[in-house]
Amino acid sequence: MSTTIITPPRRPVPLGKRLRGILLHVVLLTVGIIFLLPFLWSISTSLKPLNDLFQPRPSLIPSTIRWENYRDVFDNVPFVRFYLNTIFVTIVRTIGTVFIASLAAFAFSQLRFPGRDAIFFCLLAGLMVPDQVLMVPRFIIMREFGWLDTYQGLIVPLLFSSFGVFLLRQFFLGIPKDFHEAAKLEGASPLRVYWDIYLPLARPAVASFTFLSLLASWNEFLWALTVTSSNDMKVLSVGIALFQGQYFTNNAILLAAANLATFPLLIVFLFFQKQLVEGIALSGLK
Amino acid sequence: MRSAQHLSDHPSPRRHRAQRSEAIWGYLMAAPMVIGYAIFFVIALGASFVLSFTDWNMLSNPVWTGISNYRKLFDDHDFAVALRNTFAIAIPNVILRIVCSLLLAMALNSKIRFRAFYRILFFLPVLTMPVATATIWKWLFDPSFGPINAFIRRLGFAGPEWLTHPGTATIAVIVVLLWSGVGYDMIIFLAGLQAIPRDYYDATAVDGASAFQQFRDVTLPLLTPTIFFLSVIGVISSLQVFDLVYVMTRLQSTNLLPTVVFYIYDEGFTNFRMGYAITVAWALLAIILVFTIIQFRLQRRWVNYDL
Amino acid sequence: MNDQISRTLQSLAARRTDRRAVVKGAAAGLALGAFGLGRSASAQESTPATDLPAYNGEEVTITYGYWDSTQTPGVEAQLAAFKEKFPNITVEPQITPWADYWTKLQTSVAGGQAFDVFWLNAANVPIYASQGALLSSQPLIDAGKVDPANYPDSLKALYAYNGEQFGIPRDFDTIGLFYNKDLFDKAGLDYPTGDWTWDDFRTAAEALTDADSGIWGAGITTSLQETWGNFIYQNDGHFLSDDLTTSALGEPEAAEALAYLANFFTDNLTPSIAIQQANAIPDTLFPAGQVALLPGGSWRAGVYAQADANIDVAPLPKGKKAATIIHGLANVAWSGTQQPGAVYELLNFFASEEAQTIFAQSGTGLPAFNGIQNLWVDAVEGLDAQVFIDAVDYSVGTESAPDGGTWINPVLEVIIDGFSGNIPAEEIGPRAAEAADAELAAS
Repeated sequence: MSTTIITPPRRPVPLGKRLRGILLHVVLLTVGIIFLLPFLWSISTSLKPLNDLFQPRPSLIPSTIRWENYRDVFDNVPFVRFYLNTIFVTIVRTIGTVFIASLAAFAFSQLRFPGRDAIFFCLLAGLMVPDQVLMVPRFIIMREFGWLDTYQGLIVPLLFSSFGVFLLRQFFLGIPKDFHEAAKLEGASPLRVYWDIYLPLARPAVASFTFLSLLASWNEFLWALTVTSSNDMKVLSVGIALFQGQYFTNNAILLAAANLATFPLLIVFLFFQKQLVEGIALSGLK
Repeated sequence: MRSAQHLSDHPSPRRHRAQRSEAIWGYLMAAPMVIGYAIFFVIALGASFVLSFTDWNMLSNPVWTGISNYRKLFDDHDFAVALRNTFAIAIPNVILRIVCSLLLAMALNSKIRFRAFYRILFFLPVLTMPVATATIWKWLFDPSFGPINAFIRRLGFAGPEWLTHPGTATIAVIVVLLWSGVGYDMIIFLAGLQAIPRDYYDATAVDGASAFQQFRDVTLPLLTPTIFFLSVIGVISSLQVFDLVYVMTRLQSTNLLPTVVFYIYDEGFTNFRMGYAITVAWALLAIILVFTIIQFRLQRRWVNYDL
Repeated sequence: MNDQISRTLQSLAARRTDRRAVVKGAAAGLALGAFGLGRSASAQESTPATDLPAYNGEEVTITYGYWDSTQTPGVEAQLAAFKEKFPNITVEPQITPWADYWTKLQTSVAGGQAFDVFWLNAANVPIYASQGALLSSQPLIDAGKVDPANYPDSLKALYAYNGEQFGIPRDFDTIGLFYNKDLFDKAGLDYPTGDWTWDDFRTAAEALTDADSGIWGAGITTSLQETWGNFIYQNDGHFLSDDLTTSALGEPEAAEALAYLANFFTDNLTPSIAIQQANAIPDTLFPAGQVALLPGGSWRAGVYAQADANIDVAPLPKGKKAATIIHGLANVAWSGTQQPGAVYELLNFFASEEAQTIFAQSGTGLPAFNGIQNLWVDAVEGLDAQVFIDAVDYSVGTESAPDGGTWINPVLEVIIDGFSGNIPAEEIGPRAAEAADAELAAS
C-alpha cells in the first residue's frame, strides 16, 4: 500500500487577493530600495580606489575594484585584537544584561514589595539623561575601583539596562496571571516561576531584547572610549573611528573596516529573526 | 500598572509570612539591577546634580555658582533654539515611527513570501554605519546633484536647499530618523505580535470576523502594551536626538540644526562649560520626566494587559 | 580646521577675582574633592618648576597619547630609539580617534588620570596651561637641554603661555594656494605665482569659472584657518582689539576682507554654501577637478599629490601684505603625572634633532625642527611643497581671547549667513563684530 499522503486539492487563489499580494510586494520593494541603498553603497565604496572617493556624486560602481582595501584595514591598527575584544565583551555583557534585567522585570511585574513601583519608575530616569553627562563621574568611579582600561571596567557598568527592565516588564504583565497562580499553588518559588514559566512564555520579547542588547553592545562607543586607553583594550567601534584621520579619511578603508565589523551582526540577525517569529502559540492552560 | 488583588483583606499569620516571603524574593530578584543601577547611575547622577551648580571647565576644580546656571537657562537664546528644534523633530518622529513600524511589522508578520528577506531589508539601516547613512542621505538631499531635487525640478518647482535651512532640514532629518529607526521598532512590534495567542484569532474567525475586525478587536488592544512601551521610549530617545542630526546638518564646526543634546555636548566639551552643560541636561531630564509621567498616568485609559 | 582655531581662542582667564566664588569654590572643591573630582592633588597651579625633576633609572611605564593612526610608524620608530637610550622606561603609545581625542582628554584630566605625555595643538594650549593641566617645559630650556633656537619663533610662541614654554613643537602647518593645472591649461592662463595680489586671484577666478561645465574658479570655505582668517591678516586686520576684549572684525580692514570673499559668492565664482554643506570643497569638489583654486592647509599636500587631477601649490595671494596662519601641535606633559623624571626625559628626546629626523623620515608630517623640513618636502612628490616652508617667514599665529574663544561660533554663523547672501557683503564684518562682542561681554 502506498504511503503517499493525500493532500486536498488546492483551491485557486482569488484574483483580488493575488493582486493585493503583488501590490504589497511592489510597495515593499519600492520603499525597500531606499533601505538597501546606503548598505550597497558602503559595500561598493569599500572596494573603491582613492580617486573615486573625490567624486561629489556617490556612485555605486567602483572604477576599479580594489580588494587591497580590506587588507589595508589591518595596517597600523591591531584590528584582530579589537575584534576579539568586542566578541568577548559583547557575549558577557549580553548574557549578564538579559539575566539581570529579566530577573528584575519579573520582580517588578509579578511580585509585590514595598516601594516596588517607585523604584521601577526611578530606573526609568536613567534613560532620560544623555551619557555625556555621566561620563566623568563614572570615569572616577572606575578609577577608584582600579577598573580603568580593564575588561571589568568595560563590562560591568553596562550590565544594568533600564530599557530591558521596562520592555520585559511590559511583556510579563501581558502574560495571563493564571500561570503564576497555578505555579504558586504547586509551591513553586518565584525563581522557578520565572525560569520555567515566564521566560519561555515571553520568548519573543526575551529574544528581541537579547538581540538588541547584543547589537547595542557590539556598537557601543562612548563608554569604551572613556574607560579604555591602551590599544590592547580597544573595541571595534573605537578602532573603526581611528580610520577617520584628523585631516583626511579614506572612506574606502573605513567602510571596509566597518563592513568587516558589521558582517557578524548580519549573520546573527538572520538567525535571530527566525527565532523571533517561530514564537510559541499559547494554547490555554494545562 | 495593575496590582493583582489575589489575597483577601483579612491578614492572617500564614498570609503574612507568604507576603513577606514574596517581598523578600522581590527584593532579591530586583537586587542586582537596583544595586548596579545605584552605583553606576544614581551616584553618577547625584554628582552631576551637584556639578550643575558650578562653573566647571573640566581642567581645574569646579567653582560654586549657586543657581546662576539655572537662571541663565531662561535667557539662553541658543538653548531655546535647540529646544525648539528638538521638539520639531521629536513629535513627528515618535508618531511616524510607531505608525510605520506597526504597519511594517504587520505586513512582515503575515505569511507573505520572502518575509525573511524583507525583515532583513528593513532592518539594514540599524546595521549601517553612520558615515554611510549620512553620505547617502546628504547626496539624496543635495540641492544641486541630488535626485530628490532633480525630481522636484522635473515637476516644475525649484528644489529647496534642504539641509541649509532649519525648516527643511527638520523635515529631512525626520525622514532619515524614520528610515533608520523603523527597523528597530519593527522588531519590538514583531515580538508583541508574536505574544498574542493564536486562540484569540481562531475564536474570532469562527465567529466570522473579517481581517480588519480582528485587527481592531484582537490585535490592536493586545498590542497596546507594546505601543505604550514604544511611545514612552520613543519620546525619551527622540528628545535626546543628537548623532544623526549633527552629522547631517553640520558645516565646519557649526551645526545648522542644533538639538538639546548637541548643545549639551557643545557647551560641555567644546566650550569648556561643563557645569552649565549639566544644568541643561537636568532641564532636559525634567522635561522628559514630565512627559513620561503624563504617559504613565494616561496608560490606565487605553492600555490593556489582557483582554 | 576651524575646530582647532576655535580652541585657540578658548582660554579661560585665571583672572577670576571674585573672592566669594573662590571661597565657595574651595568649599565645593572639598566636597567634590572627597569624590575625587578635578585635578589630582599633586598639581595645583602651573607653578614654574625651576628644578628639573631627575629620572633615577628605575623601571617605570608612562603613557603617550596621540590621535593619528597614520603617524603610528613614525611614533613607534621614535619610541624605539628612545627605548635604546632608556631601557628602563617603557612608553606605551595610546591612540585615540581624532574626533574624540578632546572629549577623552578632558574626561581623563577631569577624572584624575590622563596620559603622561600627549599631543596638544596650539589652539588648546592657552586653556590647558592656564588651568594648570600641563607640566611646564620651561625647565628643560632653562637647564639648557633644549635649545629654543631650533624652532621658528612664530611656532614657539603658539605653545607659550605667560612667558613660559609649555610644549615643544612637533609639527606645524601653514596655508597655501592649491590650484588645478589642467584647468589653468585649458583656460590658457598662467599659473599663480608668489606675486599674486587679491586682484590677480579674483581675475583668475573669473576667467576660470565655467558654469556650463560645472567648474568654479575658486573654493571659498567658511574655515577660519584655511580661508578667511588669512585674508583678514593679509589686509592688516585683526580678530580682536589690542586688549583682547572686543572684536576687531567690524573695523575696515577685516570688514573689507570679508566683503571681498563674500563677493565671490555673489558672483558665483565659488560653490554656494548649500553645495558645500553636501560636498566639502577640499574633500571632493577640488580633487575631483571642479574647482580651480583653493586656499588650503599644508596637510592636504600629501593627499592631493595622489589625486588624478594635476594639482600644484603657490603662496597665498597678497593683500596689503603677505600673511598665512600657522598652527601645529606639540608634545606636552600632564601636570598630574606620577613620573615627572621619566616624562622630562621623553620630552627632551622628542625635542632633539634625532627624534625629529625620525619623524621627518616617516613622511607623515611637517617637522618643526629647523633645517630638516626638506625631508617632508621631498616626501610630497609632484607638488611644490616648499611653498609651505617659505610661508613660515610671513606666518601669523591667531590671537586668543582671555575669556573664552567662544566668540568664534557666533561669528561663524554670521559669516555663513553672509556667504549665503543673506547679509550685504560690507555688513558682514560689523555684524560679526556685534555677535562676537555679545559673546565676549557675556563671558
